Amino acid sequence: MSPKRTTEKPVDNGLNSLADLEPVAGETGAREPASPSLAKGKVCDPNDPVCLCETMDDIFSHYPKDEASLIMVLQEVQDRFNWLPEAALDRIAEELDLPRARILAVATFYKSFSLDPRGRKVIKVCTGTACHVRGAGMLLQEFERVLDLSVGEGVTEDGTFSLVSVNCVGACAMAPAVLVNDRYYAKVGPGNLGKLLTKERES
Amino acid sequence: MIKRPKAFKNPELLLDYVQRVQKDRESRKVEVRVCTGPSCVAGGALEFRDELEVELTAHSAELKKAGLTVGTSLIEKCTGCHGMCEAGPLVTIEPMEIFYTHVKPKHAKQIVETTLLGGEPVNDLLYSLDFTKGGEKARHHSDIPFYALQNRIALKNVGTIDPTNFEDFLLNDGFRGFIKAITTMTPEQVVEEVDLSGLRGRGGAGFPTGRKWKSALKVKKDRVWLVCNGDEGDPGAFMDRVIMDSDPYTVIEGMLIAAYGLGATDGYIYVRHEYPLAVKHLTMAIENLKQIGILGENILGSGMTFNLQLSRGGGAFVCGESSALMRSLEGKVGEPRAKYVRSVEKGFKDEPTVLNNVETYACIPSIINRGSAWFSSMGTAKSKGTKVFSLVGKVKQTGLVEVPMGRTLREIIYDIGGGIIDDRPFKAVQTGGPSGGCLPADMLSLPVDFDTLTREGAMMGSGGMIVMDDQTCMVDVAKYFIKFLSDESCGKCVPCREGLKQVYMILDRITRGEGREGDIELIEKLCHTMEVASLCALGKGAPFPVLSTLRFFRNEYEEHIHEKYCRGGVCTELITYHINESCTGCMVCLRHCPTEAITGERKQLHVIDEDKCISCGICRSVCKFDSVDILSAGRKVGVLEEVKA
Repeated sequence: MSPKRTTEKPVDNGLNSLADLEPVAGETGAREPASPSLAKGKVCDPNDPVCLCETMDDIFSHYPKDEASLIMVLQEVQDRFNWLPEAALDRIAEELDLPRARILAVATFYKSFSLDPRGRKVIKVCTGTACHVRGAGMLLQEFERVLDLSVGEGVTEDGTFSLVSVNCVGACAMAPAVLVNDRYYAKVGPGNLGKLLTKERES
Repeated sequence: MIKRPKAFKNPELLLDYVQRVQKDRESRKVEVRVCTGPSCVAGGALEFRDELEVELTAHSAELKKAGLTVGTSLIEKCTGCHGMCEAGPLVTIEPMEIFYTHVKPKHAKQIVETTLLGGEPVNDLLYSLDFTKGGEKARHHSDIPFYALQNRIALKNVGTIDPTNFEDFLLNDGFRGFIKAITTMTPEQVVEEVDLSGLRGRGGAGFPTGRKWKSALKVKKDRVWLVCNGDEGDPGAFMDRVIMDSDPYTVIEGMLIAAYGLGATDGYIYVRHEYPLAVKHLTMAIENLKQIGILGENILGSGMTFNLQLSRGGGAFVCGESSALMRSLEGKVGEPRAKYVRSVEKGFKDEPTVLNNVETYACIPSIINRGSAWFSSMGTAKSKGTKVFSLVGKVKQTGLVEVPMGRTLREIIYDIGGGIIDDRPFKAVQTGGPSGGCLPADMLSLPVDFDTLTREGAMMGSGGMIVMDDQTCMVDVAKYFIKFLSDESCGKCVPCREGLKQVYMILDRITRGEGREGDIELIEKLCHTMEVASLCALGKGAPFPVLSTLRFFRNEYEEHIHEKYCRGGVCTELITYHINESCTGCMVCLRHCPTEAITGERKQLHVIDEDKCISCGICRSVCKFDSVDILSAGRKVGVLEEVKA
């Protein structure tokens, strides 16, 4: 009955409306991830062949080398690099003995994969129905404007943020919801969006 | 602390352990339960918990004098989502049944001193029955209509147990259903019991679970796969997420019972990658059960084998469709196939596969434990039991509600949900996700079950209920769903891929004020083609949001086309914003305007420059004085007094 504490003391910013913006750790309490796929190490530079090779070796050590592992391997690569570098795809093709076209078909079909580098933090603006009727469209536009990014494209100049829209993050009661990596933010609007970005940029 | 055996070699060992834990916990006098669902954590639940621990330590001597020892007779624990996300962070204190809402870290001291030591509730934190600050307060959660009117089966443990604590689960009838099945029933009896219960698939289609299982029993096979569909893609529905992240063991128990009944030895839980917490808690539960001999070989000494794995989805809506999901499990592109051969014969890896939804599995343990007659005594003639609904949108009390089938929309939205935000007029409720429909106010007395709503052009589906008020544009809602489906169409069959694109283009021009004579008829024709000629449920169901809005809100389409009037004040190209005399000159809108279209001095009336304005609506959303009006076709829209009159 003594789970580890990782949360910091809340900062009293004197703005009640922003108290809703405390990030969610994406977990209840603070417990260790149980699966290797959840234990994300530091982001490795895909241009460094040694690092890439080591990372890929590690990934393949967790999965059987057959076609059925493809999506899980791609997810693992996406988790570690934040995107799918070409060199990693080559290695997957080789290891799983699959044509590149098959891998690209899967990588482009599923939304969670990105063939372009993404920022350190991916801002996912929920555009599910509940968020839509509570103004997610306007919020998304405002994110695009403030970050000077288009949805689904590019990274902010400082390399911090990428912006994507997701269909539903299952947090409909707290609409409009935004996920930054795995952290939930509730009831985000133009009024508190700046605070969210500052907080995320610093952490 | 009772030591947990390394492995449970037979059911008696497990039951004996439950008894010992129960005995040990008799010394627990008070439990402070902090909801740590995403919504409550977003509001600062973890900070509150930290502060509470500090306060408990600081007051430990006084508490001890009052007979409460922190850690044994007084326990503080984190639970999963309570369902009432709007009022979070939530804290309950048991067994006093005290229910606190909007709890902040600063309240920890007050709670310890007033409630734990003084035995009195903190009035300010109690739930307000009329949603106002000074209103009447509910002391217990059973006094709150939101909870009192619910009947929780699939959600039975949600919000009461710590999802990562196996003992919490065990003490709430955990594995009772499974033990009953393997010790007193034959596999055929298990399937028969589920069939008798009348349980229908909770994922949306409503196919009788018992019938599916029975047909699987008839198939000749070497191996049966069991799949749990946790790819909850319907926007506006989040019951599966909550069940998975707040009560993972119950889902697995449901699967174990199914595996026993069907003779399945291998299974998958397929979870959306957008649900990190569900992935995490299910992974923990699977690992734990493997270690203690409740997953794997010779489960509880019964000789039964069941290997369970978790697979994360890749973020494709169509993978919620069963045949597409199985392709995805195989590591392939998630394209559905025509279903002339059912998956109970040829599914995952072309082998017999039984797939059910998360909520369906969550109902199974209670059905076996308490009997099919108990379950089928609830609900309507053809829809038995209860259903979880996610009540969201413009309703006062958003959250998850579980009620017996057959309750009316009005009971759910008004009695449980408290009605519409700001008491605005109700316009429509969207049910059933992107394949569902929108129902208007005169349909509010419809009972909610699988068949009634389908008859009216909507559907119950997976249970999403998005409530819309007068400030919603129904053409925009239809466009939203078509855009959603057009993005998510896998592209395999032409009617869905091309049809959606065309319908979207037409709807888009209508919302831009460029609608033409004949557009409505053209949409109807395209919808008909999609409905009859598409391959899977995504394409076949795609027309419903359009057709149902056309049926009940045709006037809005016509107003858009002929008068360039959007009565919801949503379609940006048909509306303009104006600041009225009530403006106090606070400069908030001016600061937030992205195009610097607003000018004005402090304490002076502000003005919007129409040439610069992009109608984003930010000024209206940040204005605290209701000073920004929307005009469409020369008429003011969304004026509360007018629409109410």
